[in-house]
Amino acid sequence: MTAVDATARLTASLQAIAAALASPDSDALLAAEAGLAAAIGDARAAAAQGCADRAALRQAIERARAALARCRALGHSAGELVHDLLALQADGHYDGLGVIAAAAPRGARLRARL
Amino acid sequence: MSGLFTMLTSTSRALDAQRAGLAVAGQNIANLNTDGYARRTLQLGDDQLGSVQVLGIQARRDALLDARVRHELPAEAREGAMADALSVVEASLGAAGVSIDGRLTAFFDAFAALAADPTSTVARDTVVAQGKQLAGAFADMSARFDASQREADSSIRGGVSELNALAARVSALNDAITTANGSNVSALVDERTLVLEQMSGIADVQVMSRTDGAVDVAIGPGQPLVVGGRTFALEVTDAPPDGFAHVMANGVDLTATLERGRLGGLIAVRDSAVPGYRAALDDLAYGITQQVNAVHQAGYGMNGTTGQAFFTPLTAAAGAAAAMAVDPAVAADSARVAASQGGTAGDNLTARALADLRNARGMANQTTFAEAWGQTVYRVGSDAASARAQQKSRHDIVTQVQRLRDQVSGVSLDEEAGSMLKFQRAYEANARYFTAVDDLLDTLLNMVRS
Repeated sequence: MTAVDATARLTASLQAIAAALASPDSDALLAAEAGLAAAIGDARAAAAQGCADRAALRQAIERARAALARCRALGHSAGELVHDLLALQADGHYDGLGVIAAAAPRGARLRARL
Repeated sequence: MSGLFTMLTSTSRALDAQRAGLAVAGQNIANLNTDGYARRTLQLGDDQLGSVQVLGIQARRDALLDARVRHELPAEAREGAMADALSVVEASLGAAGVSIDGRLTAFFDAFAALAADPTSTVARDTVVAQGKQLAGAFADMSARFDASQREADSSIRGGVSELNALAARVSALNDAITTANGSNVSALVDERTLVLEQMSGIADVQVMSRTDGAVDVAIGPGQPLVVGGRTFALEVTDAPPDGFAHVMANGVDLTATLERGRLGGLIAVRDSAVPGYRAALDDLAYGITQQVNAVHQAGYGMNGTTGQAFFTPLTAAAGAAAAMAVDPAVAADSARVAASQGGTAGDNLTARALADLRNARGMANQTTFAEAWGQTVYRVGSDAASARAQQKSRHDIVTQVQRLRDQVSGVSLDEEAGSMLKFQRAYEANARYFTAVDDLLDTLLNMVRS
């Protein structure tokens, strides 16, 4: 497998993770892990062999970086949401129907952080 | 007899409960694709007869997730408004070679042709005509930037009107909810949630729930927009010197504080992005005028005149693109175009020097006129592309949060927590590889560079 093909496969794995994060689909997210691990292995092996088509590889790297950034943005958003939801539940302020007084200051904190 | 009656009553209530349950399920299915609809659940309880009775129907709405959606919407709307407006600006710059860059080439080509035949009246007339075309192209581009700002301004006024109408609707819904006297208000709450999301798309509003079921809405630095059943409408004032709309709340100018939402994007385009492009255009027009005039005034026209400016002299860069024009004396008589450096017939040194200005690095950062124009075009394109990419990324997040809300709303707290934890763990399982991916991409990038 060439470095360009391996990078494209890595991008596809990352895009699958981003799609699962956006869905959001826990099962698809878990299933994507094996694909990513395999794609990393392939890309490492391909990197050791060098690359003839530098322009194509540069483009493939840019696409992979964009897919990785999308994963991180979606993961960050979901992580914050999960964290706050669970924290509110643990505090006992959360009844699932109306986080009235507790949600308002947390919302302000979220805005300040983002 | 009493036992039979009790049994029949109990059975009847149980059947009522089942019927109500079916009705709720039907309502949920019917509204599957209704925006803002929250799933209903039947509230059942024991009655004194040992059977079940319907206590009520409750909408399973998750306030934190609603708040999170409202938090993400303004960012998406801001980037969307910027992407739309900047795409129009980008298109107005014209295609490469037929915009200001093409006019610059034709202008300096005309001086090169005059250098080849310094006594030619046709060549002189062509120089004047191309000078007018160049000045006209700058004025036209400046007018297009004006139009972009006016269009954004008009959309800001429309956005404020829309926001006021939505605020009035929220206060009306607040009234209806708080005076419902125990009747089911789920449909009203659904509608209010939808209206609040629409408001969040226009501006970054803060929503605070009240114990009576109403919500208060604030904008900017805590300015009230809705307090229970009262609306505090925003106003628009025309601010000098350009008459653009400023958004006022209770006499306080909120314009600079509206950073997110559609209004934030439009304000950024009107007050920051387009003025930046116009400043670059003005600098270029001013630079061309100054440098062409400096060389031209040192030369001699065919009629012996000297000290003649080619373009009407400008006193400042601000407004230069709109004001740029061929000097009226030159426009009226092309014999005043300077081609000669010493005033002798056949001398073409000034015409050559003017033609050579196309390669002079007289603009900021040692760039030529054409390169300076290229940088402006690149900047507009880059800003538009960046806004489009940001919008896509924000849209992803809004969709994700909306779907998460739909998934977890209406399940039990334990299920909700379990589902969320599973999702978080699944993400973490993948995220632990991200540093390795980063390192790997760096390695691959080094292969490209080496």
